[in-house]
Amino acid sequence: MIVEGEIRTGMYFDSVTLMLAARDLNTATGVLDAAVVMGTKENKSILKSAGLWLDAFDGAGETDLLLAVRANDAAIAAAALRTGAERLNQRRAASGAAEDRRPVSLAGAIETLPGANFALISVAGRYAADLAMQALDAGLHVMLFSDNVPLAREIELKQLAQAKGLLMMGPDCGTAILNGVPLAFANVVARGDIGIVAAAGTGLQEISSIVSNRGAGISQAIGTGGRDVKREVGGIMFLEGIRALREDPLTRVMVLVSKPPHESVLRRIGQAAAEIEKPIVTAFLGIDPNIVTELGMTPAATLEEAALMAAALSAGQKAEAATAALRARDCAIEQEAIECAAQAGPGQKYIRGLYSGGTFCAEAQILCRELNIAGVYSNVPIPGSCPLEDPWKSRGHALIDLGDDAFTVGRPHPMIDYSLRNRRILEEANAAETALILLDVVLGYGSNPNPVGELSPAIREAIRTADRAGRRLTIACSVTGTPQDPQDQPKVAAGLQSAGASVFPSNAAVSRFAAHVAHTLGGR
Amino acid sequence: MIEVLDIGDRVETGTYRLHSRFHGALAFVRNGSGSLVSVVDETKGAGPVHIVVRGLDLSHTDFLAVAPHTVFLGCAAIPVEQRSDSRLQPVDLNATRLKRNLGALRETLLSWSRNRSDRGPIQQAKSGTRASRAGQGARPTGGIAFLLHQHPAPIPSSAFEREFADRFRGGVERLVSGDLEGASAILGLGPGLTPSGDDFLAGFLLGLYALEAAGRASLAPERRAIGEMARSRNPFSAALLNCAAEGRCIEPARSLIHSLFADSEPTVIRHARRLAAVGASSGADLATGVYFALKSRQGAGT
Repeated sequence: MIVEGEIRTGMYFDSVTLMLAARDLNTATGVLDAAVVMGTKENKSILKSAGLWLDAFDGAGETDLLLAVRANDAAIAAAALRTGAERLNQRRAASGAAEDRRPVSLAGAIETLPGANFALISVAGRYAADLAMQALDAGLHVMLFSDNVPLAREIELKQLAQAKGLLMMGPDCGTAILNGVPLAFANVVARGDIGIVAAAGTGLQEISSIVSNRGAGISQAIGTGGRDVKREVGGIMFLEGIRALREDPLTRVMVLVSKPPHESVLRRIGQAAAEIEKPIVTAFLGIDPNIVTELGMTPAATLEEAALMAAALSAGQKAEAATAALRARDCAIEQEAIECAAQAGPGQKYIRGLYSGGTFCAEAQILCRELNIAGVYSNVPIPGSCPLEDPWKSRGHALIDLGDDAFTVGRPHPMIDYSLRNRRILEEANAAETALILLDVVLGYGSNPNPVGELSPAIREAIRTADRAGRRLTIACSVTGTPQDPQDQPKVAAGLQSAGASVFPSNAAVSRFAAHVAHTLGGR
Repeated sequence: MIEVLDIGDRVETGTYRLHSRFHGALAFVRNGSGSLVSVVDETKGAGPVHIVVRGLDLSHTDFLAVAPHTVFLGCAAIPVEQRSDSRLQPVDLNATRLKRNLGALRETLLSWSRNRSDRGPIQQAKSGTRASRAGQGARPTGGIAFLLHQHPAPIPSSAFEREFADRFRGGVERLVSGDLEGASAILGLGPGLTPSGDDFLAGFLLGLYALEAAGRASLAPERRAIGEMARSRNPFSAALLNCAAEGRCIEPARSLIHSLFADSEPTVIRHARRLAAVGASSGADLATGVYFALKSRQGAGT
């Protein structure tokens, strides 16, 4: 007499299938007894008592499936086990088990989902361009999340996509919303009639979230990757995005978002805009608004303003209505900043921004530049800011993009993993010169699922550290997202406020606050 | 068009990863908390952790995210108006009616068990082989209805089944007599993805909750204590037991329990048959747990 068995880990079968497998084992010729059970403590105990025990079962857990057979000889037991296993395998194939259907190639994916017209590609940079090319050849629109794709390949991909009438979003395209489906880092926003083309990922998230929170909605949000508006690429996909929104019957208002496009690209955008009757709001951060106006578009100074202007236009109001409301709000922020700066000790001279979104870091620099704040340093400086040569060490008013390559090699993006930023918050809090720490918190799919739980301890500790040293440290942040996001924007804002942070309604608002704090500190 | 017909009140917002696929159902676990949600077709029906969908190809879906008013399944974003309430509702307790209805439930479960044993796959397959040699009604297909026999139940031929039945009976006797350690003896015991012991305990917890809702407030500590003991690392069992401890359950179980308090015998029988049809024996095992809780605790204090 012999006992044989096996353990199946990570495989789950419904009770009927388990019952049928047990029947197959029990009815096999020469089998004396058999069982198919989950590896709970109690079931293991029964197997022992019933003479169906194998020492290997010791290591099985509650979620493992145990198959045990007692038979007259080993061949019979092995045959019975094979029969039972076949039953399980058949059921697995019939139910389309996940691992059976997980394709390992683009061709396999297309075969698995016939009729698909879109591919989201996230692979190591060196493979990304080839795979994107295959997808375009197969007639699929592409969102290329991967970065480190050579510029020449990006141009090649975009030219091919243009010729085929397809979207080639990216490389380094982290967010998009197509037909209501959020892709990669995106927020849960209402559907509506505002279309976005963005060469700035967090810019797209900020605008789409504010639009949604204002009761308007997004028709499409097309990402292009940040390099698209540079001279070399020539805005190929930005222009294709504009064309797509022009033709999209659901889109009534358009918003274009990027850092300042190259002059030649801006000219082409202007030419495209001239042929469009739909109102176009731009958030070309840092650009002279007169240039945009001359091109027939409505310039917004900030992401927030662009969102509010678009929402106003969508509601049949004038864009200027949104601007007027913002001016009043910004006066209150200025007053708050003056009060904050007044509480800072004499040695507390600087603001320190620790960003996960590059666009937000740029927007903060622009608002500092507006107030002529001297000594603004950044690892991603805009014209007017000074380069921060060692991004690991702050200097002056430091505005740091923690999503820059220097910080993300071998580490998850700071929108996902807060550990690096939390350490940096404590470092900045320890520095006697720090008066204000500035943060962006970006919610939505893909982002850190528990921002309050992970940021709050660092915020509390930073404030305590400064307190112990007799300093009053302010931590201010914005929370980009919507109540519908998995993290729930109002809940996160309330949680961070409880931890001691001042929460502002947008990155523009908190950056304006910080700029005024810096301005006031500089004037002391 | 893809529609969400129902979303349970214990489906947490968040993003999920695919855990396992079944015929007509997908199980997802939430990133972070590890809590379970089942995306099911209409045949499976509503439950506290169920998202009931129509028009979705389950075999090609492996992404789920739940926002307060939207469910994202695969590439579809589906608006959700409101969530169903899966909790047992307060009922009036009429001792005579409950006693009569419990009798009907017991007979229905025994009848279901006999039918399964007579016509079930084990018996069909075993006729002329080992089972007929033993001349016994060995029957994992009949669930744990052997507990309901007033006369000595047939002795199973298999050592495994004999051991299972003995232990189960011992655990239930302890639990019914007020020794809550009986729950530990039953937890995780027996066949099934959710072992029969877990199904029984879920039913027992629901029975206690129903009696509390009918005014037997003194049962609350016992329900809480069993709920604490009935912890499982099997996500399917954990979801079942956690919900049951809060008085939440799948729709057929809710209907049966309500019916036991409020309806006549034919209605009880109809609901009992419907619940018994869930899974291989899960529904019947759960109903057996309900039966023992109601029968043994209906006289508890207010």
